[in-house]
Amino acid sequence: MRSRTASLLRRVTLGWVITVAVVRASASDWPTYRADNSRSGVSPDDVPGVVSEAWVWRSRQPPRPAWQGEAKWDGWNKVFDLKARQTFDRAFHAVVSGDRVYFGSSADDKIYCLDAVTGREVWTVFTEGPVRLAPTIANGRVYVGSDDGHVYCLDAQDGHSLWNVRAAPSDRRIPGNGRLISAWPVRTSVVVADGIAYTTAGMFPSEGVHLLALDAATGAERWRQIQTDLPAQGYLLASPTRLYIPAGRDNPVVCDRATGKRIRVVDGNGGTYALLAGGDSLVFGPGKTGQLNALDEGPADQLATFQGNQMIVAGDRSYLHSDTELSALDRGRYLQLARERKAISRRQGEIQKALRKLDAAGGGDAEKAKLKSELAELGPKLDARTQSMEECLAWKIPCRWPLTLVLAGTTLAAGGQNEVAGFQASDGKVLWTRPVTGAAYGIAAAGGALFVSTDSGSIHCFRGSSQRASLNAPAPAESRTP
Amino acid sequence: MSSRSPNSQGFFRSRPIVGRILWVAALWFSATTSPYLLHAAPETGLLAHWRLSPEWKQGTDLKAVTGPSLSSIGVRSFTSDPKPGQLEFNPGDSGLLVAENPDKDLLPRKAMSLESWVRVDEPEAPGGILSYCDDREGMFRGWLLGVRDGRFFFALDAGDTAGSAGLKSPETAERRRWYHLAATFDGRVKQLYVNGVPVAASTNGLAEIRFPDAAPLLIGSVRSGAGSHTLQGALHEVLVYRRALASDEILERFQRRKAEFPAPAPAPPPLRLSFGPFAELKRPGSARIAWEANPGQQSRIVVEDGPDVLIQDAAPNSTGPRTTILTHLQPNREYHYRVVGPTDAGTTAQSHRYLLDTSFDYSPLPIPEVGQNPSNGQDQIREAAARILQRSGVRDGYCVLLGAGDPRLALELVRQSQLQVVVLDHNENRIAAARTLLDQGGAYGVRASVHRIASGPLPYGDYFANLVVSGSPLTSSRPPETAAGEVFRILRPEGGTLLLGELNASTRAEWERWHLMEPKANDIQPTGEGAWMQFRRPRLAGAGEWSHQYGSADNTATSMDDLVGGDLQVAWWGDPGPRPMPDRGNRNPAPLSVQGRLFIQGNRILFGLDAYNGTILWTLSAPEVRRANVTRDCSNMAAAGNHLYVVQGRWLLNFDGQSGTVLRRHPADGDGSTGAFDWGYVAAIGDRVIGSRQKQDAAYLGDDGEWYEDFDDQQTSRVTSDRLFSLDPETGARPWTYAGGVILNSTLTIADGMILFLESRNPKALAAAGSRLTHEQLTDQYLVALDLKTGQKLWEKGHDFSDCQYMTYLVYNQGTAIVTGTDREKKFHTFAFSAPAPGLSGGDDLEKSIPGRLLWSDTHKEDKGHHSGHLQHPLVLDQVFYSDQRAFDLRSGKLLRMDLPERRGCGIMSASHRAVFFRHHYQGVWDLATNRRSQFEGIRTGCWLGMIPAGGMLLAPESSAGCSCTHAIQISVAYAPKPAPPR
Repeated sequence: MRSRTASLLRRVTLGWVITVAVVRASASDWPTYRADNSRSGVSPDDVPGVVSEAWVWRSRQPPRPAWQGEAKWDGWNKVFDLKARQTFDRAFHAVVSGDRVYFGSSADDKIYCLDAVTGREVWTVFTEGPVRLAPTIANGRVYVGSDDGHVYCLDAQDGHSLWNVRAAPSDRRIPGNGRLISAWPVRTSVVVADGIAYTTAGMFPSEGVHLLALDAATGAERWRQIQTDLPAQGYLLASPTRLYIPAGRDNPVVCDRATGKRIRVVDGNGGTYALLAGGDSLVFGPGKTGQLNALDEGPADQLATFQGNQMIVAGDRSYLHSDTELSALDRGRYLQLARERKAISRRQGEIQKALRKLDAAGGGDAEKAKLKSELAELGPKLDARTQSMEECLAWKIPCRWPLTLVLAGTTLAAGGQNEVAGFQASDGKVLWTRPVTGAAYGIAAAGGALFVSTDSGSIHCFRGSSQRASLNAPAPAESRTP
Repeated sequence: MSSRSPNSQGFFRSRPIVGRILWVAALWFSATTSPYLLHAAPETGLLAHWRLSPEWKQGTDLKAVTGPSLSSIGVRSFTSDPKPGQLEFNPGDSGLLVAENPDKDLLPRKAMSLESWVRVDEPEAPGGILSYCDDREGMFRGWLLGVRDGRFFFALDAGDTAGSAGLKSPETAERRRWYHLAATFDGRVKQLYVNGVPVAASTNGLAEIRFPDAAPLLIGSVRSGAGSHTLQGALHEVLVYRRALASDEILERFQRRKAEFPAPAPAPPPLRLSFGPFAELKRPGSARIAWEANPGQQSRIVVEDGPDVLIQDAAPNSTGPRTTILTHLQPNREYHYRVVGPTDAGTTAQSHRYLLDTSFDYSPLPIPEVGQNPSNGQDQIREAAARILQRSGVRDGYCVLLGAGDPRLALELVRQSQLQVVVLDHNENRIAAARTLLDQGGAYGVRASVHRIASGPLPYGDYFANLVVSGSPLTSSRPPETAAGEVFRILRPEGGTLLLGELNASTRAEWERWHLMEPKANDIQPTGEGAWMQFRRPRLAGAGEWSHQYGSADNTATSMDDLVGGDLQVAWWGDPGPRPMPDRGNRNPAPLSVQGRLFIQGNRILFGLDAYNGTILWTLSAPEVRRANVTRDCSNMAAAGNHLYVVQGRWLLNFDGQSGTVLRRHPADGDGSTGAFDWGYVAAIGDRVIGSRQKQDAAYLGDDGEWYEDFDDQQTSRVTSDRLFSLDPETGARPWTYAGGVILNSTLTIADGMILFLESRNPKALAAAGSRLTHEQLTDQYLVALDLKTGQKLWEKGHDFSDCQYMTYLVYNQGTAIVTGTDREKKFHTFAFSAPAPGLSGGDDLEKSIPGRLLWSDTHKEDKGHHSGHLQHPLVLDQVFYSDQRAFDLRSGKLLRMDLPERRGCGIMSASHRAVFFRHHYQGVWDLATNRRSQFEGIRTGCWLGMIPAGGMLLAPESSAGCSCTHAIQISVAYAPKPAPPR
């Protein structure tokens, strides 16, 4: 029996998903990385209380990530366990549309289409470089970029090429990450919104990093902007008016969606994980030590900082996922308190500055007394907000599955080392755990099924039905050369 | 100051909000689950309590019993077996950082106590137990509980004169015994208690506790200057109180728990290795470890944290050189191992603890044995591939197959080599067939790909192809469709091989036309063998090499490469990334590049790369190979021809540059059996190696993130040598050995048939020659010149170099030797001497050509007062001496300019003949012809010499590792000159 809270959660979740989903084709699809252009990681479809493995697809070679990991420590600051800030290609992240599963491979340079029910390969298409990021499915088409510097648009049914555009400014290819690839690899995926496919090409600012808008139907270029200070690596995000470009280890760039012109580079500690938590509120990280920075829509500076690697926002609740814990927060109240706290803090700064000025000028005793009085009142107010923020914690549990987190209806699913787990979103109760091969860096949830991608190159399908298949050796599929 | 900004996380106050929430909740969780807290009553005045025990470690954090938890503490040696739960601090470990700069408002000022249960394994090694202090500039601020001179030590600055003198326990700490320590200050009296008994007291406290301006709060360590002293032993817990504990209270606390701390077990005797260990990862899941213990010592490998690892040892517990194979290793995982062996007393001796990280396996993926359907001609293809590999001698890097006529050849080349094969074609059907075949063979992508190319120029950068082969060597004897000039353009210099079809009478004219189609082809002469046309690309004309720390052994920091200017583009990027590299490349040995190979010294791991395409040719985990603070020492690497020379303890190892195989080893002293001396300096000049001898363990290791920029004997002491010698690396013969004064390693310079260096003849220094000595000890200095061939002294010049206090450099160029260094006020002092090569006059001015004659000198305050500007190493280029932000005429000392590029970073300059490279915010370039200064945005170079122009490329191995900054890209990169615009 589901609790009232769970029912409420389900309702707010659905409502929220409807507001942020930009490309979602139908309620049961997961048509792009982490479900939508906000990278919400939320599916409206619940998964059954108990799931079992329906099939597993195994790559002959594991993924070949571009980035091995961070340094072992920051010796100057004596900080260990530095977080890897670029983990976007450690697994073949899957997307789901209808009864098909799609993904790209950094091992064999192919784009795959599997039957979601059986796991059998339906078609594959070759590219000329590693495909590091998941495709996006829109209007029956597959949009995907490759390290070969090209963007491919394929028919989702049979994989035939609809158009193929070189996003790179020239076809110069050089050794990169152990392969002969474009000097301008496509490493931010393709997002599709309102008939436009957005993507980037390039990672070395000195070579120029290109941001492009293409006509999703024809591939015709609408605009192209070039940045010379930051790379473009990590999954692109899009709001109705803006694009967010992860910049590898650095902080994301915000651009105007209509023109591609830069609005700003956000403030924070870097990283390619990013989430649009409603509108243009950005959460990103994990920085050096596993921190998520939250920014409000307008200002460039941070609203709040969370200890964690990933976040799910569903209605008025946030789920925070760190290396060891999973927690739920009353998000609306927390953010409201954070805003109030920030305003108080800002006022404190203003008063202190004014006092210093008065001290330097001499005199102004009455004014100083007034300011000091106000300052004295602000301290308790600040502490009260801080205390209230601490009370926003709904629940928290130890969690040994720290690699990825999604919300499927009322179930949270988390990936860990050789295992995935399901939790009841209302209270964090562990519902099930299932073994997988390798570290589960990616989960897609669609149609009541979970598709788990691991660093061994496996994709495991879990669903409630008893239907199972095991595909240790991929069945032959029609391979295309676009 | 982005590269070294302190951790902004404050003590208590500055933790993020949700971090505080989690902390509060963690305490609740701990209190309901921890056995310790079930009976623990809240302590009055207890500010912080950390129990360094496995049950308090959660993930990468250490949860506090009270106070702030510690995050991201790294891989640590927590254990509860034997009890009590403890954290061991071993050599090379760091302390735990509580806060980089604690909030002073939250620390006690009027009274406090520190308490700990501690075990000391090396009483003579100074170390901190709990510290928050700064002792720079001779002033002590803050407080410290630790070990000094074998005794427990408590210092606290309360405005008294005896703050830093501190209190010492009268008895020496017994090795491996657990002690209860308490240190109290009640606003007047400071007391130190050992096992509940007061052992030292001082009543000099005059006021409140005085805090340092900025200092870290550390557990298990104390930062002294920019260096650190980590406890050698173990901690069970540390506590901080904001009141002075009473003496009976302290005694009760000791009595209550003393039974939990057993008498010390005998420490395992140390097992000192003569050689190694070296670990190779050449196949997934497997490692080969080679080592040698001292003569007569039996030994074997034990893996401490890999119960599933299989150890294949054909002769366990035998003596002499040993190898062991480890299998069943998991990918991307850290293992720790030791070498152990029996002693005469029946105990087991053990070596240091070594790290084996399987994420450092960069070998190409093996191709699965699938899809091999023998077909007609398969044997012929297999043989053709074998012939190609055998004839070319190329087995690593990139192979370009011109045409997809027979893709089976690509598959066979992959199977029989380490090559990454790229097939080029324009025919859709052939492309599709080739892709399918390579995919079915399991090679497409990871080892082979097929590129659709149009006619005309090839869409590739220069120089990357190690091997270019006709795609249909068995069926076609005609020249390829691709123009010869394009094929030659992509061919790797210094050995890139072009192997084409059959040259016979009927096709000779076609081949000759093809060959002569492009002017560049004329640079390359055919060396056809048998029925094959073979070309091997020579070294690029004008290319330079970077064979020693500062370019060449003359220390000028230039390669004189004529090809690398200021207009560059990315040529390749790839591993190694930051993970295997030392923190920020701080004062570390520079990478080297000769004969188109790039040698990189990571953090106790060596890499050999192809400089033209970034292919990792070999790696070797070498946990005993490390040198730091080359500012006061010399590098431990040199390269010449096909050889890389690397110092490991008492040995100089002679590596084959292509394979990473150790060909020979040469002892620093005698036959290397005693290990009393380490190898110091190394240079490779012609067919000789020049080496020096120093005392064992004299070199700096820099394992604790030391910065080596402050004025402190522990940072500025020079590593010295007591012998200098010439070695024939083929025979091991030593034609000569020089034994004179105390040689400063940082000054050893070789050029024009001479060896130049500074030596001290102070009798006190002579008595300690070969060890680390302070500048005050190294007085009575002489500039000495030896004949390179004979070792005979050519001349010497006594001079007062006492102003070179921070460091002492020596460079040589065109008859001029220049000594430079800075004094403690950070003023540069430069002295230029005439140093004519043997048999040469040294210049037109006879007076100035007298060997050792002072030509000019200069003194000026450092121009770059940040990021170690006072440690800048000079550079000499075209008779101009560049030092600090200034340029001087080499011979006259005339100041030529003061507008050297602004350098924000901590790196030093390097140069080709046309451009200077340096660390600004990012990798910086100064084009000398145009005076244009530019940067490669997003990429930071290291804190010494990380960019080297060689072989017509600018090579920049990753060296920003660990930097707290958000530089977007951390990867090894090479740049090549941009092609000239079309005329």
